[in-house]
This record gives sequence, structure tokens and C-alpha cells, in this order.
Amino acid sequence: MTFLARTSVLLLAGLLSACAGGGMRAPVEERSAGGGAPAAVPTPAREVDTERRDGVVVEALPEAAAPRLEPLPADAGEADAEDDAGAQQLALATPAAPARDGATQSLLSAAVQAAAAGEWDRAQAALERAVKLSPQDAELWRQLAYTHFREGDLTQAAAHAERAVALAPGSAAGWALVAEIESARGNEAAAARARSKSAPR
Amino acid sequence: MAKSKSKTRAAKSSARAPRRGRKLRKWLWFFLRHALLWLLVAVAAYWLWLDREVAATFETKQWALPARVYARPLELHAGARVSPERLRRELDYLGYQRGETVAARGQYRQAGAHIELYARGFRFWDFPEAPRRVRVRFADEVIEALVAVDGGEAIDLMRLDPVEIGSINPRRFEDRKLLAYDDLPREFVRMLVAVEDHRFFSHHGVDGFGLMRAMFANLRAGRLVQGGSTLTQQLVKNFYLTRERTLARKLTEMMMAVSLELRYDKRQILETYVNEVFLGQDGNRAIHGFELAAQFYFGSPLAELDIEEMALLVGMVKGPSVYDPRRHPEAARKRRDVVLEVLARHGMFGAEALRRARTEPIALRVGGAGATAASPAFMALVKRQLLRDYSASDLNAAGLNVFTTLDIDLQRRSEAATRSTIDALESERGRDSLQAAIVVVEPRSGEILSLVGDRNAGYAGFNRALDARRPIGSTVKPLVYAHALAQPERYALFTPLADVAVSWTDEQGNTWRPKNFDGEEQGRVTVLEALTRSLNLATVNMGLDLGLEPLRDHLAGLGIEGRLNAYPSLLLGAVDMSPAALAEVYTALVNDGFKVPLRAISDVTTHEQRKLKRYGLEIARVMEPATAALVRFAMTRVVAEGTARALQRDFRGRLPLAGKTGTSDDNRDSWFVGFGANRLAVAWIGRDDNGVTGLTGSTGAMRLWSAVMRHTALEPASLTLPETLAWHTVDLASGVAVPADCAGAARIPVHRRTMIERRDSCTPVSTAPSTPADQPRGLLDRLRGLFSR
Repeated sequence: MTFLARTSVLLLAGLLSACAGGGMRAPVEERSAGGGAPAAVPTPAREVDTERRDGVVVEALPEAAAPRLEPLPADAGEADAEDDAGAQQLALATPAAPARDGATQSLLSAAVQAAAAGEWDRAQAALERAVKLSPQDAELWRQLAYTHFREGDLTQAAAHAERAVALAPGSAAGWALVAEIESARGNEAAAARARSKSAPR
Repeated sequence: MAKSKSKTRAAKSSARAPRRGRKLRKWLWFFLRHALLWLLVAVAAYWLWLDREVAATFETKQWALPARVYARPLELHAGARVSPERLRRELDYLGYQRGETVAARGQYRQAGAHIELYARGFRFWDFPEAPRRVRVRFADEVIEALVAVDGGEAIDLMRLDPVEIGSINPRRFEDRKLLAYDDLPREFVRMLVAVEDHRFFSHHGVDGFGLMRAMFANLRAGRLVQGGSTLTQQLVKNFYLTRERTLARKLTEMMMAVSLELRYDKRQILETYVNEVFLGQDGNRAIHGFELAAQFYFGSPLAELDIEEMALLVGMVKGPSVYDPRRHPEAARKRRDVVLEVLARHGMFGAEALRRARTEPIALRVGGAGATAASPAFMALVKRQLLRDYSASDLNAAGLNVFTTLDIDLQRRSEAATRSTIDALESERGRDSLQAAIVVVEPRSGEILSLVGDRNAGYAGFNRALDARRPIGSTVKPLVYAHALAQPERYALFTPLADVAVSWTDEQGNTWRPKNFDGEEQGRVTVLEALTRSLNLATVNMGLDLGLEPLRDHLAGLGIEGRLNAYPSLLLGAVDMSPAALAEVYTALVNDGFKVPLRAISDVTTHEQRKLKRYGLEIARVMEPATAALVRFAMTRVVAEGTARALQRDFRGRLPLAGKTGTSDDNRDSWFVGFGANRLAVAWIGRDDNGVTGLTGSTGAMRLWSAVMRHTALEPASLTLPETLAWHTVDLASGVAVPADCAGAARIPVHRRTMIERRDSCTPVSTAPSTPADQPRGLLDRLRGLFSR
């Protein structure tokens, strides 16, 4: 199963740019109000069987099917939707600051200053205090990843960058850094994947 | 003396026979000259030996700087979960003095919802904190605003000075708080010199005038009343700590004192004196040095004592036990007044102030040193981590500063809560020999905030939080379910499981038949329900479906150590772990799938506060953010309605919290793992002989967890979903998504790749060919069919 999932993920990555419409059924439910336009969505490799009976839509999972990446709509009016929007904004707004509290902002500023002086360890120390205060702030994780990258710790650089893009999957700057780090580690395939996501959408 | 005798004899003989006498005199002279020479050589050799001896001792005193160990500094900023009580306790640990005015460093006052304090500042290697006066305003348990008193501007963030929690100096059972000469308060130096040795800065180790005056006083009294010792001589005496007062001893002392003066300058000698002098006894701990004494008697650093308090300490030099202010307050007070009179004579203390001081009793304060010593369990961990990177001699001599992650306040409270919980459990259940361990961490950074490895935290023995590896029971289940939920095409929280009897036969033909805790079978349950109610049969059936080999690999990938057998008992926690190791694995669930290694040390700096090593944050992805969020949500339901629901009463207003109980076979080990967004703790209760405790996870370890975590600034667990998940309202009985306003349906996160049936009404349309009741049964039958194969 894991093998299948992995294979299908690879397959889908290849399809990512190509597919825009055909061959897939639109989800039956209405879109959520706060979700906004869906991101570019790949088609499943096989068509999904859908049947309708007594008011229930049953979408059966075909055996060995590719994972269905069409986002299921969330219920409207959820905090979740706001968070999604927040993440988008953060990603696009970099480096203009999103709403940060004073403490986090002062640590980030201190880190930026230290980094400008080439004092990566001090920058890192400040950023690590900052992520304790604001663990959902993707920009802090990205900056931390960068300090590790500059210090030559590629393993930690990659892990921190992964954390950054997990929080802000739409962050072009985040994916650009992932690409740079993966390239430095010699993972050209991963670097290419990341680079394709770093293109502004 | 030998010299004068021989001279007399020589004179007599020369008078009787000049010729023979001259020869004799020549002989005698020869003998005398040689004797004198040899004597001089002997004395010189002795002196040389003394010189080397005393120099060697002096050097070790100078350079044997133990590593100082600090707790983590308290961070103050608007929005920080620091209550006024918490801040006040921190200031007490630090020896800040509460008063009406805040004029000098180390003072504070409380007025209504404000605390005003004069922070001492601290030379942190990365971002030093300058001393400053700040006003902290509180709103309930949270800091609302932080303002500089001088200037009035808002302060974004500041750190208090860190509490010193111990030193690493295993050579002897004594600790020192060393002061450099430049850090000595000027008035203190003048006072000490005026009282003990007022020609200190001009003599050469021995004070001729002082000695003559002392001899005169002794002659007049007919006994030894004055020593006439210089500070240098006193220092030498302190090195060798013999109480004998013979002339030979005195001469030796003088010779050593002169040696020291020739080798070292006054500042070095005075500095060593101030750090070395014996100033009392605290149980089996000797109080050496003025800084330690200041903290022992007054709970403050020397620099913050007032003149009267300094005078008391300086007075104690003459006789630390006779003038012990705790045991002999009257004698100590009289001695202090004598010191103050000397100061007044030297113009260092006004006559009016002297009169006033005489009427004041001495006010000792408790606190400081003893109250902030870290528990042996935590210090053992610190040493263990340090010894990986430093040699023992570096640690003992280089004067390093070690900054730890310990929250000293939480540590104290954890220790007290452990003691009281275990005592209560024993008396309620008539059991004895229970043992306990609990580790509290900041899950986002892996920092260990407190660590208790024994019900009696003062014992330095077996550290159960780190070293007791016990079967973890059902606390493994969230990790097992993580493996299922990592496959969103197959498993979601609403996926039905068969909670029905199952058996498994190993290669040797032994058959294993697990049971639920209550012995019942629940039939069809959802994943969420199985985890919330900790159902064994559903878990085993699910695990067999997932495959034992992949499951074992998954658990190993999460960092569960040791040899894992691919037996179904693994699904129910037949794996041995320490509380700390389990806490580390669980950090991944708090951090969206990124695991963080635990650490007890954050930085190590040199004596001069330059960075030597930083132990930074390390993270490693061990599961998908979506998987972590799903399991985290399920664990909040354990607290909301499952086996840990008793916690709700204690944590009202701080929910949701995530938790999981665990009990090993026959109720031997009782476990609880629980976390909010900023705190994660693992508690264990059991017996050292692995005997039956009669405790389940919720009746034992969960109580300990609650008793400790109630004192922390616990924030609710995060239910923020990654973009791969979305909230849905699901009718769990049928596993069908329904409109959001349907009563009785659950709002749960569902992976976007998960297929879900959707219905537009809350109840199925009545004309439906398959009734809702039929449908689950049909599913269950299908599942049964699956397992009976």
C-alpha cells in the first residue's frame, strides 16, 4: 500500500502541470465559503465510481486507485478557513510582516540584525526563542532553516525548511529555499520538485 | 640561641689559654659559621618548600572554578502566561528584596496589579540584558504590559537573570560562589580592610606594627588575645585549617604569607581571601566565601547587601560559630556594632546612622542557595549531557557557565506534587513501595522543564524518569493509530473497526487472546471510539489488518527504542520505554509530525560569558502533519469523553487537552501521556520490584500528571488543521457526512484524500432500501468475515 501510495504520488507529480480539467468528476457538494479558489489539482489516474442512492452519495474507492487529491470542501465558517487564508497571506506577503506580537517581532528583528553581521549562531538563538512564542509562523521556520543552511548543517536546514512549507504550502520563498537546500544536498529531483512549487501562482 | 651559648663558651676558654684558645676559637668559629650556614640553608630550604606548597594551594584555589549551572531565565513580555505569583516566586528564588521603593538592583515592590522591579541584568552570550527598572502589569494570570520605568516606553521582551541551581564540583562536597575583585563592592573592601587588616595595602604579608601591638596586648593580658594576623596570614591559615596556635605555626604562617605577597599582587590575594574565608556551617555544607555567605544568611548577592548586613558578615570572620547570627543573634549583633564603630572611626559610617543601627535588630532572610538547588535527578542529566562533550577536568576547573532548560519553579512543584500524590495513593489503597517519575517538557523545543525520578526527589539514586524502562501499555495506541491514519485512503477517524474477540498463535504454538479492560466486546466501533475508549480488541484487529511488520517499522521510525517484536502484543504496548524517551516520541504529535530530541542544556559559556557551545533546536520529520493532527484530535477526545475525562474538572478553561492513559499487564505500571500546545508531560507510577500496583493509567499516573500540570502555564492543544485536512460533521454510527447542524453528529477532521459518504439530511430518507441499522451490521459482518479468514 505504501509502495502504491508513493508510486502514485510520483505519478501525480509528473501530471501536476499538465492537467486542468477532463477525466474527473467534480465533487458533489458545494464549495465552502471561506476556502477560496482551489489550487491547481491533479486528476486521479482512474475514474472514481460514483453512485447515488436514497440521498446518499457513495464514492467508492477503487482498488489500487491513485489517491484522490480533489479537496473535500470544508464546512463553512470554520476557523480552519481563516487559517488557510492566513497561511496564504503569510506566504505571499513575505517578507512584509504578518500580524506578529511584539515579542516575536523583536526577536525576528534581532535575528535579522545578527544575520546581517554574519552571526548565524546569535540569529539562530533568537529565532529559536521566537518559534517557541509563535510556532505557527512559517517565516520564522524559514529563517531558521536559512541559518542552518548558512552554517552548513544541511540536515537541519532541510528539516526546518520542510517545517516552513508544511505550515505555508503556498510560500514561494519557502519552496525556493527547499530547492536550494535539496540542490546543495545533491537531491536534484527533490530540488526540481520544490522549484516548480516556488513559481508564483 | 645556639649561637650565644657557643660564644660564651668560646670566650671562657680563650681567657684560660690564649694559644690553645685561639685554635679552639678558630675551630669554634669554623663550627659556628657552618652551623649558621646550615641553619640558614635549612631555613631557606624550608621556606622554599613552604613557598612552593602555598603557591600550589593558592593556584588551585584560584583556578578550581566549578561549572556554574543555571536554570532557564524567565522571559517577560506582553501576553506571557506569567502570573504575579509566579513572577514573585522567581524574584524570591533570585533573592530580589521586596520593599517600598525600587531604587537599587535586585529590589521590587508590588502595588495592585503591578510589580515594579529593578532587574539586575545578565551577560547572556547572545543578547545581554542590561539592568533596568521595569513595571509589569498583569491581567489575571497573564502579563498585560511591560514598561520601562525610566522613559516609559513599552518593552517588547526581556529576560530576568537566571537562577543559579548548583555547581559541578565533585571533588568535595562544597559549593562556592566566586566573586572577581572587580565585582566586589568598594565599600565592602574598605570595610573588610579597616576591620581586619587596615595596613593591608601597604604591608608585605606580615604587619610589623600590628604584630607588636598584638604582642603588647597579649603580654598585658597574660594570654593570647590578639593574633595581629594580616589578611594574607588569615588566608594561609584558612588553606590548612588547623586550629593550633603555636609559635612554630605562627612563624610558618608568616613565611607563607610573605611568599604569597612576593608571588601575587594584593588584588589576587584579597579576591582569594574573599572567596575562601570560612563563614559558617549549614549541616554538612561549609559556607566558604562572602558571596555564598551573603546568600546563605541574607538571600541576596553581596553587592546588594546594605552596610549593616555587610558589617555582620565581616564581623563573623573573627569567629564564625561564636558569632553565628542564627544560633547566637545577640553576640552577632554586638559584634556587628563593633564593626560599625570601627567604620564610624574611619569616617565610613555616620554617627547618626550608627545610633540608629544599634537599635535595629539583625534581619536574616531565608532563600537563595538552599531553596534553588536543582534536584539530583536533573543535575545527573545535566552532567550526563556535559560529559559527552567535555572532560571531567574541564568541568571542574574551567569555570564554565552551564545554562539549562530547567524551570526551577515547576521543578519544586513537581517534586512536591509527586510526594503528596504518592502518599495519598498509598494511604487510600493501603499499598506501599510505590515509585513514580514524571518529566515535563516544552514540546516545541524539546526543553526539559522539570524531571522527577523518585518519589523522594532529594534522593540521588535510581533516576526512573531516564532509566526505568517499563512496558508502556496503551500509551502506545495513539502511535499505532498514527500508522493507520497515515493511510487516509484506508483509514479515517470514522472508519469502522471490529471490536470482537481475536486470537493469535505464534511459531511455538502459544495462543494469545487479548481482552478489553472490562472484558466486554463492543462490536462495531469507529477508529475514534476505539482510541478514545482504549479498546484492545479493535486495536488488535486493526493492527493485524495493517500488518505487524509494517507497524513495527513504523514504531521504530518514530524512535521507539529497543528490540521490537512483530507480535500483536506490540499493539497493546508490550514495549519497554522510559518516561523521558516516551515524551520525546510524543513531541512529534504536538509539532505536526516533527520530532524534537529532549535536552537539558541550552548553552555552555566560558567564565567570561563567551559562547562555547550551543545546544540548538533539532527537528526531524517522522510523520505527516495531517496524521499528527488527526491523532492529536483523537487524543483530545480521550480527555473530553474517554478514559481521561476526569481531567476536565482540573483543567477547566484550558481545554482541549490531549491525553492517553496506559496500564501494563496486571496493573503493574500506570502511565499517562498528556499535552497542550506548550507543555507535554509523561507520568509513570509503578514499583521497583515490578509488582502489582492495582492502579490503572487513570487512577494512578493521570492523577500525578494532573497534580503537576495544574501548576504550569498550560495552553490548550492546537486543533489547527494543515491544509490537507478539513472539518466535517459526521454521523459516527454510520460513518456518513451530514449537514453541520445535525444533532448527535461529531465534528471531526477528515483528510482530503479520504472518501466519505455524504447525506443532505440528518436522518436517512425513510424509503431507503437499506435502513441505517442494517448498514452498520452489514459492515460489521463484512469485517468479521475478514478476520475469520
